[in-house]
Amino acid sequence: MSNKIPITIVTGCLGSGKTTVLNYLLQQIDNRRIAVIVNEFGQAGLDHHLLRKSQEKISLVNSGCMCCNSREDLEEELKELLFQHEQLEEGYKRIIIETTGLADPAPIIFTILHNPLLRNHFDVELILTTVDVENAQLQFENSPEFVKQISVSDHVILTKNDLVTAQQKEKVIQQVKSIHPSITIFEGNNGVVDVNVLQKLKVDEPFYKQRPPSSLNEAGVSSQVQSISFHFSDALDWTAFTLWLSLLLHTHGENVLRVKGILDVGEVAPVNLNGVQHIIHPPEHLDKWPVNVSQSFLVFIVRYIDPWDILRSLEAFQHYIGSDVQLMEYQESI
Amino acid sequence: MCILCGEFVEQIHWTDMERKQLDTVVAGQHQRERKRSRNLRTKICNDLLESYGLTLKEWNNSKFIIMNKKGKMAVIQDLGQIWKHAEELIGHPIDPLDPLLLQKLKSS
Repeated sequence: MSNKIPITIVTGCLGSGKTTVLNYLLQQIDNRRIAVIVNEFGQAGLDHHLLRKSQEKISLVNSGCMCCNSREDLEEELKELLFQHEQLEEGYKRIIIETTGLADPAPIIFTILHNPLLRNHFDVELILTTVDVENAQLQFENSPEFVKQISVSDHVILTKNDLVTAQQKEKVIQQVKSIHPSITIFEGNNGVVDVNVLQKLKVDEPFYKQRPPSSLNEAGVSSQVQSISFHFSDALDWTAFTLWLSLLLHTHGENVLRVKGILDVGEVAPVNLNGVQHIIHPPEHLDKWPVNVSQSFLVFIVRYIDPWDILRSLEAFQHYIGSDVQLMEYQESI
Repeated sequence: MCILCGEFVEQIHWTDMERKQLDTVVAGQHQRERKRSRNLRTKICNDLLESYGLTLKEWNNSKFIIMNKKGKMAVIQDLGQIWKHAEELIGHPIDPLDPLLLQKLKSS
């Protein structure tokens, strides 16, 4: 695992400050062995000699849904980079992919995990999304990609903070949290953001909190995104659990925007599970239990499916899985 | 590559990554666990597939065979393929959220 080159994906809506943030970050860190792939035209380009542009070229793999499109262009770019990496004395230590504002990050992850060459050399480590606080409200209402970008991200960077009131900002934070309860939020000012945003933070247990239905919902915005999380009281049977999850993702993968969790499978340390739609990252065996986590948990972010059905289904399977399942948190329509 | 049938196994399905990958593995070290987990997988799948007239067999610790009552069958490698082939044989996907299916599972 550790020999793989980590990939950071930066997404965000058009004009939400991806390039500005990236430009700043690249200046702050030792950028000598970092390669950047951008697939957007006509932008204030990054001032960086390793910058590469890729044209969007999509190839559909057999019977794939939208998330299972393989991006040929990206595949080519990454192979090219890998070739350079092998030739360089030290090689690249990180690759950053900046997506277009309209892009859905799922095909990018799929491309890397589906290609036998790429999946053995690269590891999607971190996904960042920039959120333009001023226009976030509009994007929540109009752009389904935006909700998806947030649901698959690890960190969110709020940009254009100086243009709004503290109240507005707080509202956006609430909305982001209501889509993805355990996301980490950073604040950016004119591109200046905490450099730690590039570090993957330790896994935290999503805090249990009963919230009233979000205010966005009252405003009459109908988005079907909901999230639900569960606790497991005992160790899970990996075989039975993955059988259930693989079936769920096979049938409903398109509508499972995100699944993640820390699962006790009866070993010394738990397994970190992370998936986007039909795609599951190779499960990561942790060395020890994360500090704030004491029990197995699993979070789903779904759309168009009733999250309670997932709970009922897990309950029906629980005698195979070997552990009781308890509801931890439920977020109604966002 | 599968040494029995010569099939090229391109990738390991995520459901088969149960154990931490170690640098060295003694031959036969996890065979018993592996067999046990494959048998369990077959049992659960059969409980599920029964309602649709399908059966799954474990074959030589290496493949699974799925078949319907008319004898139509497919050789499969991993869980990802089981659901795909089951869907093809039945004509629609198996829905793990289907209340009827869940009711049956609970009562069995």
